[in-house]
Amino acid sequence: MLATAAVLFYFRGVRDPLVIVLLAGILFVPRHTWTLMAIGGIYWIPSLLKGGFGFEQRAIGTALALAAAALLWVIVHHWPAGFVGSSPRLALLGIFGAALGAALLTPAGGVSVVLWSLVAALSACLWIFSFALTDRAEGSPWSNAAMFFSFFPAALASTTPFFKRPSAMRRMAAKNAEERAIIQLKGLKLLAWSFLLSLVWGTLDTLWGAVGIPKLTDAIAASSAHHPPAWYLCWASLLAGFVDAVLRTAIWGDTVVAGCRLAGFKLLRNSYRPLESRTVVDFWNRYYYYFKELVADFFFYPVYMRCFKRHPRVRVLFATWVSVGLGVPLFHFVRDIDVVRQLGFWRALTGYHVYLCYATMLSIGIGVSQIRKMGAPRTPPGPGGSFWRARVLPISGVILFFCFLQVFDELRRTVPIREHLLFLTRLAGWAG
Amino acid sequence: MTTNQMALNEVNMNDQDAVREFVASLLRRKGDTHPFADTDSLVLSGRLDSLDVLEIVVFLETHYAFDFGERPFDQQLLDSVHEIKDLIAVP
Repeated sequence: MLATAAVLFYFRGVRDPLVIVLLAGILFVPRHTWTLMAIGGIYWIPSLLKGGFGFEQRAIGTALALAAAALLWVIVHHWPAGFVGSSPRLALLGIFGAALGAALLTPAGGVSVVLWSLVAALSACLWIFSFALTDRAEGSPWSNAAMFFSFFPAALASTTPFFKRPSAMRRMAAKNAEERAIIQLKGLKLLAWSFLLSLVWGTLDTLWGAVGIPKLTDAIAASSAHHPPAWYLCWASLLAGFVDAVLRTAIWGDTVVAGCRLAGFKLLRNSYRPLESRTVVDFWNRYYYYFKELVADFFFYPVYMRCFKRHPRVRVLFATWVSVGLGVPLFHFVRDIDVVRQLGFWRALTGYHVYLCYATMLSIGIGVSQIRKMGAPRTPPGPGGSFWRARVLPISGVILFFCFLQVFDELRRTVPIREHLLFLTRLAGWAG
Repeated sequence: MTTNQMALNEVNMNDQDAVREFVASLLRRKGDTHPFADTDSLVLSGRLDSLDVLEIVVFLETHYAFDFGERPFDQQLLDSVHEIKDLIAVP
């Protein structure tokens, strides 16, 4: 099993031998699972730092961020009634904001680099620190650090934690040797599946290039330069971009989940048949499950539990707008904090307007879809209606919605919104 | 057993039945008719999603005047029928 996993990981781009060494340790000495995962996870954090830092700078930034998180953890556990104890997320965001402010105000030099490396490390670990700080269950900081295992090395690095809180992680851990073996086999199967999907993705990518379908970003750039591709190529580019995004997310997420399952943790898949979604909210739930969970946990529930309780529809719409319309952009702003270093704070902020439009439209789509779904009768899904009306039309509608939406899914912050709107007119055949 | 204790047990049993029936209806809506024990994980196992969690929240607010705004919320609080019942039992 280990040899097969090593080969599949290699072809999936995970070539750090530590992954296999750790999995071998977990396989043969399962009682040290948590320690091994903690070592691996913390070892990989520096690879998450964006911004062209050297090894020493990455190590310093990581050490400072871990020290800040450890300090907060101590405060939260010793003084739970204080401001930090009752609002650890706000305190963490405050530290991040203060570090960013200091980095922006400090003239270029050694101190500035250290501050930026701290900002980069905090941006990489902000959400996982937040999950750990808000966990009510008891647990040692060391065992909690095993959550970092879901980061994996650079090839699969993401700031979205898959394990959420340590207490959830303990629930997902195999309870006995038999269950562990079953979960590990499922992990291997999922790893093989992600490998097969990567072959499909590679084939499609080559095929699209061969028949001349441009990448969506290239098509938008050509449209801006008044040399737009033919309208049917714009449509093909849109659909190809959508399929590409769905496949990439599934391949990457399944590989990470497979690794966690091989370590003996019963994680749900990150992408589960997203193209079968018949509603926008269903697609949002199936496409990138762990990101959806993060957004729900940090933004949706706190607002939903407190605001507009007497107005059910407004309550859902408002919480969805705060979580998706504001929370999703905040997540990406924090994740891509190196852009602030490159462009400066003001340009990075104003250039974000395209993505804010994207997030607003997404929040409206998800909010309306949720209201419709919550109002649906509580009866089992039947065969009702023709195949066309029951499946083809709703699924096509969802795909079309997300296809259009990705025109505005722009994080570079250097392309103004008029270019994206212009591209929409190209889809209608306007070539002016 | 005193009359009060019997009444309390009856209320608890009714609560558990009501919660269980509500959860079962959520599962049925998804076409999930597999049996489930009161201690079975439903949210972390993926049988119920975050939209179902919202419905449980509204159910508890409506039927038990529960206010989640007064405490930190975590989906795990509603992971099983048993845990939901524990929540109701806490004054």
